[in-house]
Amino acid sequence: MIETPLSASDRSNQVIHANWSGGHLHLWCECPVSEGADHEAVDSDLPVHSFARRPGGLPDWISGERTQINLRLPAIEGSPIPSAPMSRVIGRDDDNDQAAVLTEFTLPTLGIKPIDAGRVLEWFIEQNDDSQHDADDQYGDLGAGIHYFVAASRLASHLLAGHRVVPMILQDAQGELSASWWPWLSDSMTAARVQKLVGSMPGVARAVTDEHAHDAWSLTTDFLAAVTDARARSTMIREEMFDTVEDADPDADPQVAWLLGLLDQTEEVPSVQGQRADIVRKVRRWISELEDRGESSVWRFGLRIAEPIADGLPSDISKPDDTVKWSLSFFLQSVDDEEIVLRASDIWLIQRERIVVSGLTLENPQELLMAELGRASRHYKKLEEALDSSEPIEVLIDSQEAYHFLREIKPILEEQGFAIQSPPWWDSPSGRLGARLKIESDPAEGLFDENGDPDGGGAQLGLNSLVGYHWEIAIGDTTLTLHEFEQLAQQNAPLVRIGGKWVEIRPEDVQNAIKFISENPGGEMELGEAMQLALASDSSQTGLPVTGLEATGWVASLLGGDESGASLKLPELDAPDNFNGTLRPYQARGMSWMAFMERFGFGACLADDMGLGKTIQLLALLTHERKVAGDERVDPTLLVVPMSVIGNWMKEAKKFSPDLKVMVHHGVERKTDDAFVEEVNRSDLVLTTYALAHRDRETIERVKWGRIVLDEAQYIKNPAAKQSQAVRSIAAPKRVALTGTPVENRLSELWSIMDFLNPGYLGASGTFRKKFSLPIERHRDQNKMARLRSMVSPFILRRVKTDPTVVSDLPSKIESKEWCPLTPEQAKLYESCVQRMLTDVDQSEGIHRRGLVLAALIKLKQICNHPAQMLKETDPQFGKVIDPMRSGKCVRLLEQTSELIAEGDQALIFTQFRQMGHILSNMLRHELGKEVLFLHGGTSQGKRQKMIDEFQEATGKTPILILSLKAGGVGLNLTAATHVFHFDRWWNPAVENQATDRAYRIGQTRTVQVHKYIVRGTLEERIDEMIESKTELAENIIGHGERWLTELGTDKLRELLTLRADTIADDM
Amino acid sequence: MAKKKTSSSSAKDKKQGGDSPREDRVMNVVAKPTLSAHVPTAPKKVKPQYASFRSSRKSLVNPRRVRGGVKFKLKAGETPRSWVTQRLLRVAEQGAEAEIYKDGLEYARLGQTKRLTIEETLCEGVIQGRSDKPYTTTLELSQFNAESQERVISAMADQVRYAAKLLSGELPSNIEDVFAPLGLKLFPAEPQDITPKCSCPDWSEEKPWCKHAVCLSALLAERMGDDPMIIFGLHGMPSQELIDGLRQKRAVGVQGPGPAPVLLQHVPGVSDVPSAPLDDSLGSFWEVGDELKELDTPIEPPTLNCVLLRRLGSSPFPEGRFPLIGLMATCYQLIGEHAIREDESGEE
Repeated sequence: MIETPLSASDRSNQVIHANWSGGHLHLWCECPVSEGADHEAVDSDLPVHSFARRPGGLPDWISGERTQINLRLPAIEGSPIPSAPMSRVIGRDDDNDQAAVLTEFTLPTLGIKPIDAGRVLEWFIEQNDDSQHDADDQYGDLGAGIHYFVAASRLASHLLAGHRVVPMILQDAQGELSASWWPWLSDSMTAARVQKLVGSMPGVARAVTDEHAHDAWSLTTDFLAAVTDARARSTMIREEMFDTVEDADPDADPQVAWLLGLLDQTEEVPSVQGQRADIVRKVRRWISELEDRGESSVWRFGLRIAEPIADGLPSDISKPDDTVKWSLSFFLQSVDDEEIVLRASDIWLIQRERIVVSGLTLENPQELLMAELGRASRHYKKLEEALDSSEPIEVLIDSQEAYHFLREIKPILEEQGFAIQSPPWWDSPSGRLGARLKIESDPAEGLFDENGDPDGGGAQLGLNSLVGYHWEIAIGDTTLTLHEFEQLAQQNAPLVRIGGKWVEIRPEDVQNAIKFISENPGGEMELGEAMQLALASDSSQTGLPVTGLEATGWVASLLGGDESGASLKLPELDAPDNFNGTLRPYQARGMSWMAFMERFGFGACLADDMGLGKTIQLLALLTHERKVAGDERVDPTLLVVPMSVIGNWMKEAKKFSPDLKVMVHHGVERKTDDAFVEEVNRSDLVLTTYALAHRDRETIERVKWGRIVLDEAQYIKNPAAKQSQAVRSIAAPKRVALTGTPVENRLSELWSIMDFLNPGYLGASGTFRKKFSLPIERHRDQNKMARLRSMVSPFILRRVKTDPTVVSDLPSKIESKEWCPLTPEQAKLYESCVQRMLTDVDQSEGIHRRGLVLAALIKLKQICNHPAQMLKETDPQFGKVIDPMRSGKCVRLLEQTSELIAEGDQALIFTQFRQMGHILSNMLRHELGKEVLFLHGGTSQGKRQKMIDEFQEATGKTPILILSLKAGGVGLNLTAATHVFHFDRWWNPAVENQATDRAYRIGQTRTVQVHKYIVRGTLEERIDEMIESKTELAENIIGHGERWLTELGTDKLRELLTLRADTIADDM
Repeated sequence: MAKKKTSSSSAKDKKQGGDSPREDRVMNVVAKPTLSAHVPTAPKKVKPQYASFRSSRKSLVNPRRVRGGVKFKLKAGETPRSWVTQRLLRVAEQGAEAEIYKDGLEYARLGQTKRLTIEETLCEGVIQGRSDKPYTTTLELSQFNAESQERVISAMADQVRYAAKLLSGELPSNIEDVFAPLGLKLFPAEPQDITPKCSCPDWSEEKPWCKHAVCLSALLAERMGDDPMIIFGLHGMPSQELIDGLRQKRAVGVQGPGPAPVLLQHVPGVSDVPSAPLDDSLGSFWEVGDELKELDTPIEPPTLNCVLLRRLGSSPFPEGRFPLIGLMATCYQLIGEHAIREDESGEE
């Protein structure tokens, strides 16, 4: 049978799963709808999984065998239930899945060979990455099996790269031998990784019914072994290693037989019956050396290496005299407590066969010491000398031997379970030769006139500005003079004393240092380049480790701060007096920081947590710069925002910076061409959306912008997207990005934002990906992460709510209104509903009229929530995810919830409408990929309590709790939430406060942020204005809900309900 | 199978007379419960025997004193911690006459044993009595032949809980459940399960339980309480062989007829812990565990090249002439470099 290729929309709704069985990685697709069991695709006596398909439409290079497996999967009454990721895709409530029992099904699969498994798994991860691909061209969502086996495959890569494999002999039931490259897992570091891996194995990944009997260890090691062997073997084949043994005779030398099974396609080890037992025994004994942990599980043998006593040595650079010896002394140490140590010199004084040290029994200490010394001497021949002595306590070695011991023997002995005590300077960065970059720049103060403007319009600053630099050779913090260094080079000794301290001088380092210094005499280079060199280069570029960066002048100020900006030494600016608000201390610092960065020509990213007031800091900066400029015209700022927050910016700018001339560029009636430029030139702040920044790019580029600001900068997370490219290309000397998500954890987003702020600094996106994204995202490479962080941290200011410098400034409750736009669909529905109502009420009276008005009002509120609610598009219990893009409120809710989840927070969402609660819970589950709790009037008492407990536990698995207001009214204690959303409004502050108080109450130790959603231009905004006006009418509203509206005359109603055109989103 | 032996007269003399029914009684009262119960409760009449010894009769045993001998640590009146120790003591007590048992235990406590060795299948003690020269005493158990060993390993390999415990060097408490159905006894349950021999004049085939034999049994009992795996060696089945066999068996059993590696790896806390039944994982069936977030797999060259190869030392085939280790080192280098390059090029 030929699988019909799925259309793109089908594909993005499927979930792809992986299992390991029979030496193949089995891929199968779970579809959202059953098309009946595909009996043609499989051959089985078991029931066939009716939602599963063999994956089709894959790239050509992914080839596999059309095969099948049997899995035990959760089913209800014999019918498989959707997986958790599938439930999220289709927005299904999986509350009742506890009733499921495991049932065995046959599934059609695509069987991938071990050699391809890693690449194929990585491809699936890749195509599912939102920052690389839009949802439409994704192949499908990923099941836990994919995540599990990709992690296992990465572990295999780690082992191969680190030489953590052993050649193994295998024997089958008939006694035949074969060979394999085997992953070695027993060493403690690897064992810890394996434990994490195996411990996280999801049920679905071990659901296969085969000889592994659902055992996690057995399945995982089988996968690791197959993948490791396949990759190592393919390397051997590619390198034609087989040629090395081709002419040798396997009968004469079992080693050759063994190699024949390792270096080529065939695993078989040619051997005759008689030889086999011998080969098996010898290889087993050989490899078991790696598992030999010594005689005692309580005590381990140790060696302490000590420098010669320093007395009598000159204090400058000196090569130790070879007659001066280093000592290697022996001791026994408790395995569990490194502090408990018995030195050999003491052990030989013990008279008894059994002693107790710090509560630990030690039997026959002298025998143990000798036995372990013997074991250690197998790895270090020098120790054999000690075995000749009757009571050995140490051996003496010269400094060449000491270096050899420290560099080569120490790691081997440590891996074999011996304890090695080495001097503190060994392997510490301060004990090794390195290059240090020194950057000279002018003092910050002299560069500017009193207004903070570059003095005399001199040199262009920024990452492209040239700075003076030179390299120094340093050991730790000590800089070496040329003379000292030459002396060093002449020593030709690996361990020398400099200024009374021992230092490791690798011969290759000295050569590289000489070469490096002669090739890099110093001079001038671009600051960005210098920072890359000093902060992100590895020794492969310089030939020796770059140990640091030292700067003077303004560059020092740039590099001086930490992430929270607390230690930044900046000129502190205050909010100008025409700024209509007060800045909290950290906000003033944030504004000062942005001003500082801009002065020096750096793009700056303000990444404060949601609720800390990024908007207000930026508005203060704009007001400040105009204050400083006095009468002089300041070039306008282009602010690019998501449609959903345009209203907020308008309101906030009006409130805090009433003097700023704000222009909004959106909507069908927006200005074009010359009219646009003219109006911009009369404005200070121009608001537009990401969509328009792309669409109207040519018009926008005609303006000479002073600054471009991106709000919710995570919108450009996909660097290749047209909108991202458009905003990156708009020219402006000052560049600011605002975002509430921790950008450092999302690397392509980080690159995209940094490239917007400081073009070119992180290199081309492909290079960046190879150098940083892949090692960090795939392998959690801590070194690379640290290097990247040190590169970007000068440009990011991120304060979190829990920062001590911030928390004391924060009120315990922050209330804000979120002004959302209407989508065109909403606007159309809204207007026709208003028109119909106005016509109808004109023709009716009394109760009937009131009824008509009330009914229409409810409809209008529903339209403001989401058209689907009013149109009753969905049966709340089932399936069907509603598209959030059809509602301004939903878009904003998604932005805010994903941001707060990224910050590790939890939220309550209140709505009056139970049906809206269902829509939201399905939508959020689908969009956020998290379980969403929904508590409403129909929730049973038991279930209610369970939800509350789950939410209060705050595991991060259920960060969102939706409540329909009546249910959420009183009594509940939900202090695990720090955000409260009022998705629609009661127009009664008392009722809303009561809801808010579920989170903001005794027991709450953190700041609670309250977000009240209002759709601009609609009755929601009018009613809000009335309440805020605190008039008599407001009293009426608060007291009686919406009833008063029904008493209004038709003209009043018309005035109240008619939409304002400028509030409609043209494109979300 | 327990050895066929003439039932010892000392056992007969000892208590409540009964001749032929006694055999059954021993089986019923003593041996049978121990086959199924974890810690056999000692019959009431036996327990006081530890206590009754308290009337320290130094006058009666008066051997030449030994310095630094192996001592029985259990004090009079104490009950041994391990059921293994209890069991062996009781067997000795049943085997020896009451006075001899007491004297033997006193010898053990005094540290009359100059040397105690357990080598292969033999437990040997050099015990100083009253005469000038110490006596040599040995204890032996029935030997499991190759076929029995195979059956034991198979039986244990089938039971995950035995395999897991044994692989981690512990003795499963209900281990005898495995041996009983095979008609084998792991721990002695009656005097004739142990064969004592001694060079002292009191010893004879008919009355093998002299005080030296009791003394040695007590010491063995205590040693075995700390390391019960000794018992396998005494039956001719060294514990390492057992464990290897078990691993092999488990591997073959798990991997079906396919080839199994000659050495199975051990990762404590992982390889020895069987997974929970799949049916119990329904709660988190579709999600990977949180630990996975902490798994780092940096792709880096090793700090020391071919470190495993260096730890392994020279080739396992010293007679071979091919430079195996040198070639392997090249292979490791290539494998590592390829892994790094492949990961960098990553994509398709």
